[in-house]
Formats: sequence, structure tokens, C-alpha cells
Amino acid sequence: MRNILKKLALLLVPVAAYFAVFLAFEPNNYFGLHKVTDSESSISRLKAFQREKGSRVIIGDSRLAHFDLDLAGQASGKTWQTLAFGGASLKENNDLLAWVLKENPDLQEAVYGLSFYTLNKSYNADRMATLEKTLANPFAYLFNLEYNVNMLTALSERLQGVQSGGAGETGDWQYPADYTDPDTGAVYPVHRTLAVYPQAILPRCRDWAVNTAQLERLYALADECAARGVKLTVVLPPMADTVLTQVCEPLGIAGEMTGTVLPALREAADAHGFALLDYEWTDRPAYDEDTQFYDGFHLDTRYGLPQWTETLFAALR
Amino acid sequence: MSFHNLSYVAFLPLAAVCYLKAPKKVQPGVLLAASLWFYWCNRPAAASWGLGWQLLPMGLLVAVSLFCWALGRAIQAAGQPRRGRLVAVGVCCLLALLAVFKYFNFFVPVFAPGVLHKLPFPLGVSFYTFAAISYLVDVGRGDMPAEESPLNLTAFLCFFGTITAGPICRARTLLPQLRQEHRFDAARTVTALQLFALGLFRKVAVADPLYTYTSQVFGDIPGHGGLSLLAATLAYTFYLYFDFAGYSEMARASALLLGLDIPENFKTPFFATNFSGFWNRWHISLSSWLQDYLFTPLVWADASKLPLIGQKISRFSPLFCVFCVFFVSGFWHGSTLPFVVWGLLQALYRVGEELLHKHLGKPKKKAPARVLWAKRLGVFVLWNLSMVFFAMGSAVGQPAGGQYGVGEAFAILRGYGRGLSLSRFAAESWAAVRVGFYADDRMVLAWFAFVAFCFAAALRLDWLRAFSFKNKGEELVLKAQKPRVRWALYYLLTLCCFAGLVMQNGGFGGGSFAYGGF
Repeated sequence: MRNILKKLALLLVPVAAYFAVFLAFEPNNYFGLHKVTDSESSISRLKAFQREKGSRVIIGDSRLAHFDLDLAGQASGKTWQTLAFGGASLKENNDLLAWVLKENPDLQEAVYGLSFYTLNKSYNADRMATLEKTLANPFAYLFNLEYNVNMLTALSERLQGVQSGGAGETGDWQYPADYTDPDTGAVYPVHRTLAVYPQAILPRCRDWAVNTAQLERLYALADECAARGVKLTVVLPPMADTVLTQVCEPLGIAGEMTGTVLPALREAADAHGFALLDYEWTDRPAYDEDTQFYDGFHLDTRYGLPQWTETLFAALR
Repeated sequence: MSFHNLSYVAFLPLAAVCYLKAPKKVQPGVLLAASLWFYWCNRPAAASWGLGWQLLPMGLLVAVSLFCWALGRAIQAAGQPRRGRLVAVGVCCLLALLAVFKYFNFFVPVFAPGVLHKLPFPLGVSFYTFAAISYLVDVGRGDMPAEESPLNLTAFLCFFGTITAGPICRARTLLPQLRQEHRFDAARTVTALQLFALGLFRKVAVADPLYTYTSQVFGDIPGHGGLSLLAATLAYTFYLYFDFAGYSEMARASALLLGLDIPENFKTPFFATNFSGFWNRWHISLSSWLQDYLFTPLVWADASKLPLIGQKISRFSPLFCVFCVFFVSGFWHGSTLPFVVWGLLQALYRVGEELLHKHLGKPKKKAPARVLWAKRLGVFVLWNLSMVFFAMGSAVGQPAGGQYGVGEAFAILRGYGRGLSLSRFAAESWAAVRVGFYADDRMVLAWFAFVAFCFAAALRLDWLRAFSFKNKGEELVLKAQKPRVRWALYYLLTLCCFAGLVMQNGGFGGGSFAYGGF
């Protein structure tokens, strides 16, 4: 028996060596072995929260995922921790809020991102159960394909001397190069990334309808927050005019949102004890579309997002 | 917990140590406890199933075991013709149970939508029902004595090594082994580990990556050209073979680790030169079960007592019996039309082959190599055509909310002639894999290299087994190598299995074996 075990151990040496490399280069700092991580992935943020449970959290999709937390802290006078991640659906945000409430009994405040896009019934990504499994089981993390691809990418960037993370969602757009369609040669009035964005989200918005089941669940979670003394602020982040005029208005989403959904949300805010800050429809900031928006949903992290960060977190002071 | 899950890698050694260290009298109890734990870990997990529904499959399994034990004793004690009647009652009850759990959910949405609750599907219900039927029939025929211990019979039917998808073990082979004492044996353990590694390799390094490709292509049948559809069909054929053969090897390895010897299920079927030979090499435990408990009774049945046809014939024609066996086999695989068509095609192949032999004479035993290879190719092509229906019955690539059927199978067959361009095929294949790799081109390239290597290695293993080892156990191919070569192969197997496991998220993302749902 001992002989067999020895030989098995010998066979597993290459696998162990791979895992050693994995631990050294995995970008999500799952095991807490690195001092800092610039990963904005969901697993990275949730694991960081598990290790150090902050009392003020930001929950939402990518539109709330890129805040400079130092700037947010200065503007609000409070320390924030972000759990927002790209592509989070309304259900995932609700699952995440429920998870945070369960994980941290001392939670004081939560900022919750909501938009016409996440309210859409057909936008129903559901990854929280898998995430929770991965958080609880290190083997599920070690054997996860996505995280292994992340690690190999980080390793290859390190070997090539490429700075990981990059500049983020920002650009110094040059005319005409950044305004011209490479296939048709057409010149857009705004930079290309912003100009083509509405077409990218249009298919998902065609059969737009409010996800009432998950909205009701949000109200129930708001009740729980109110009962536990957690201040909940629902934030609708700003969007570019291109999305408003090329997607929301032609598809009737704008009328539905301003005529029905927002009044109902305001009523619900009073009834369920949460605050509502609407920068998507009511208090739309007057940003320069071309320079301050990276694309239709995301503010430029250098020229637009800092201003909105100050505006939003000053309101949360 | 499936054989290719990391959790099984922890469960199996633990179960083996407990079993092999336990006193002889306690061993069946330990095996049963481990099997029930395994079964519980594989309970229906959907949120809609409450604890009662989750317990139902396990309760059913134990109830079937006890029912068979009591009936087996009664059959043994009874004389003719009561013995025959008791066997018939037992077989009917077991078949009724199988029919309820296999077909009830199919009929609920048709006849009583929203009224009746769908039933949770008990893992391995077909396989333990077939094993139970063979036990009752064998006791009834006097081929074996009824089992005295309910514990032994329950351990036999619940055995974790075979409960998921067989192989369908005969009680007269396995029950005597369960009565024996089993202790650790180094040589046997090494063989078991070799078999397990080979099975895992076939499952996670060969079958699963092929399925990734197939499901992407079949997910958009009209959007793909003929070469992609053809490649996806071939990939599905090899997926099913390597998945099920890999599973069967892991099942054999699990049993062998405990000192139990269970039958082989596959013997290089793609090297068969006719369909008779093919079915002697493919899913052998089911083929032989159907032969012993369906074909043979049908052939020998006294048809003269039957109304209408009884006056004309006294025995069923063997060809009619062959047809019935394959029709039943198709219907057993699934209640949907594609499976029925698949079964009919198999019946057509076998009956057609027999008719050819009847009219042209039996083929020569020592035919020239080119004739044998032409026949192998013919069998392979016809099998592939039937696999299109099997894939659609198994809902491969079926979009959420959709329902694949015979129409999609014909759409694939029609699509073979569409857009036959190599550049289109390359672009579609690249795109099909790219989705699964987070649009990382280097990873896609690595995937193709990995799949090509593993697929070639798996085929080479089969080739060696068929032509150099006379279809004996696959582990012999490893054992026959020089130590250095063998160790190099061990490392390759380990690395390929590891890479395959990572591609399947270590089995933590769900996923099971192709036959796990039968």
C-alpha cells in the first residue's frame, strides 16, 4: 500500500507544480496570498469581502464596478467596499445583497445599482449559486476553467513584461481614426466605441419587460435592510444620449420607465424605506457625451467617472 | 458525485479502505452504506424537490431490493406452475415501475399539464431494474439459488460501482463474490488504478471536449455548413463511445479496488466487421441481457396459444425477435421519437444483415484485409447515421425552451450537402470552440492540439487492444510496456486527465455521463 501511495505521489508532482504556479500568479487573490489585486472579477471581490467584511458596500453591474474608492471615501466621508461586477443581473444583485446581509450582521449601508437594462426580464444571468460554491470550495476554484485561463493570461503577461490591468475604460480619442468605421469607412459624430454601442445592446432590449418577480424581491430585501437598520440606496447610473435616443425611445422603454416604473419605484422607496437616486432618467448629469462616456453605459474612468463619483458619494454623505 | 468528480476521488479510496479493513461479516453492510451514501449524493437536486421527493429514489431502490429478496425466496420455495407465475408477477411489477419513472414525466405535460407533479428521476433505475429482473428470472429458471441475506441482495442492487449506468451485472456472478472475504491486494489495486486512469482519460480528456464541440454545432443546425455538421456527428459518435466506455472502465476499476470482478461493457466496437459483431462489442451487458431475457424467451415462446396468429405459427421467426429486441432497445433509451427511429434503424441493420447472409451466404471467416476494412467502414457509416437520431433524442445542443426531434435529425442529414467549403468549416470550428474559452485565441489553439493528441492516443489504444491484444482488458496494453515507457504513459495520462478535469471545472459545474439519465 505504502509503495503504491509513493508512486501515486510521484505521479502527482507535475500537478502540484502547476498548482504552485497557479497560486503564485492567480489574479483574483482567492487564497489571500498577494497583498494587492487589481482584479475586478466577482470572485475576487466576494472573496476579499469574506476576508475583510466592510460595513458599507456597493452592489451592481459594471456601471458601478469601477469607482475609485478613495475618491468615493473623500466625497462621502465613509469607507466603501465594492462587490459590483460586470454583467450582474437583477437576480444576481438581489442574491448578492442577500448574501452580504447574511455574511455581515454589522452591515450599515448598501448602494444598489439598478437600471432599465438590469430591470429587463430577459436579462437573467444567474451565477451566484456557482460563485457561492466556488467561495466555499477551494478545489472548485483551482479546477475552474475560467480562473485557470485568467491565471495563464496573467502569467503570459508577466513573462512578456506587459502591465496587467491596463488603463481601464478610458480613451483619448483621435479624429478621424477613432471615429471611422473600419469596414464601411463611415465617420461617426462621436467616437466609435460609443457610436456602435446601441447596436450591441439593441437585440437584448427588443422584448423589454420589467422583471417584476425580482423587483418584488428587491423590495423584500429593502424591508430586511430597514428592519436591521441598514441604509439602502438604490442608484440608477447615468447613460449616454446615444442609448436613450437609439434604444430606449424607439423601443418605448423611455415612456415605460418614466411613466410607470419610476413613479412605482418612488412609491416603493417610501413604502419600503430605501433611498432612490436616479441619474439615468430624472437627474441626468450634463456630461460631454464624446469625451466623458467610454461607451453607452460606462463613463470614462478618467474624464467622466470621477465627476459622477463625487456627485453620487457627496449625496451619500 | 459522479465518477469523474473530484469528490469521487476522495470517496472511492475511503470506501475501499473501510470495506477492505472491515471483518468479513460486516463487509456487505459497509458496501451497502457506501452505496447508499453515493446514491444520496446523487439525489435529484432541483430546488423544487423537497426532502420527501429527494428521499423517494433511495426508498424505491431499497424497496425494490427487499421486494426481490422476498419474491426470490418465494419463487425458490414454490413448485411449477406457481414458480412461473411468481416470476411473471415480479417481472411485471419491475417493468411497471420502470415504465412509471421513465415515461410518466413524458406524458404529464401531454395529458395533465399543471395538474400532476413531475416525478424525480431515480439514478440508474433502468440498470438496477434489469439486474433485479435477471435475478428473479435466474432463480425461477433454477440457474441460481435465491439469496438468503437481504443485505447481500440489497448491496448487489445498490452497488455504487454499477448503479449510475451499469454494467448490468448478473446476480449469479456478483452475489457469490459478495459472500467472499476481500482484503487489500497490491497487484489488483494497481490494475484498478490503471483502469480508472484509462477510463478517466477517455471521459474527461477525450469525450467531454468532443461534446463541447458537438453541442455548439448542433446548437445552431441551420447556421452551420455540411462539413461542420458531419464533423459534429462524428464527434458525437466518438463522444458517446468514449464517454460510456470510460464510465464502464471506471466502474470496473471501482469494483476491482474492492476485490469485485464485474463484466466489460465495450470491446473496440468500431473495429467490428458487421452489426452482429458490433453489438457483441458495444454495451455488452445490455446486449447480452436483451439476448438472455428478451430474445431467447421470444424465440422459444409458444406462439400457438396466442389469439389470431396462434393458428398460423407456433414459433416467432428469429428475425421478428431480433426486430423486437432492437425496437425495445430504442424505446428503452427514451420515450421520444428520435430514439424509436434509432432503435428501428438498428433493427433494420441487423435484420438486413441476416437477410443478406441468408441470400448471399455467410461471409468467409478469413476475408482479405481490404474487404474487412470496407465492412468496418460500412458499419461505422451506418452507425453514424443512426447516431444523428440518438443525438437529437438526447437533446444535444438543444436551445433552452426548444425541443429537438426527428425534424432536426433530418435537418442535419440534409445539411451535410450544404456549404462544403474547408475555409467555412475551419471558421465555424474555431468559433464553436472560442465561445467556451472566453474568446482567447491561444486557448482555442491549445484546445485543438489537446483534443487531437488525446483523440489520437485513445484511438491508438483501441487499435492496439483490438489487433495486438485480441480485445483483452485495456489495462494489459499498459502492463505490456517497458517500465520507462509505462511511466511516461502514466505521466501523460495524469496530465491529460488533469487538463480535461480543468476544462470540465473539476466536475463541480455539474455534468454527468451520457447514460447517467437512462
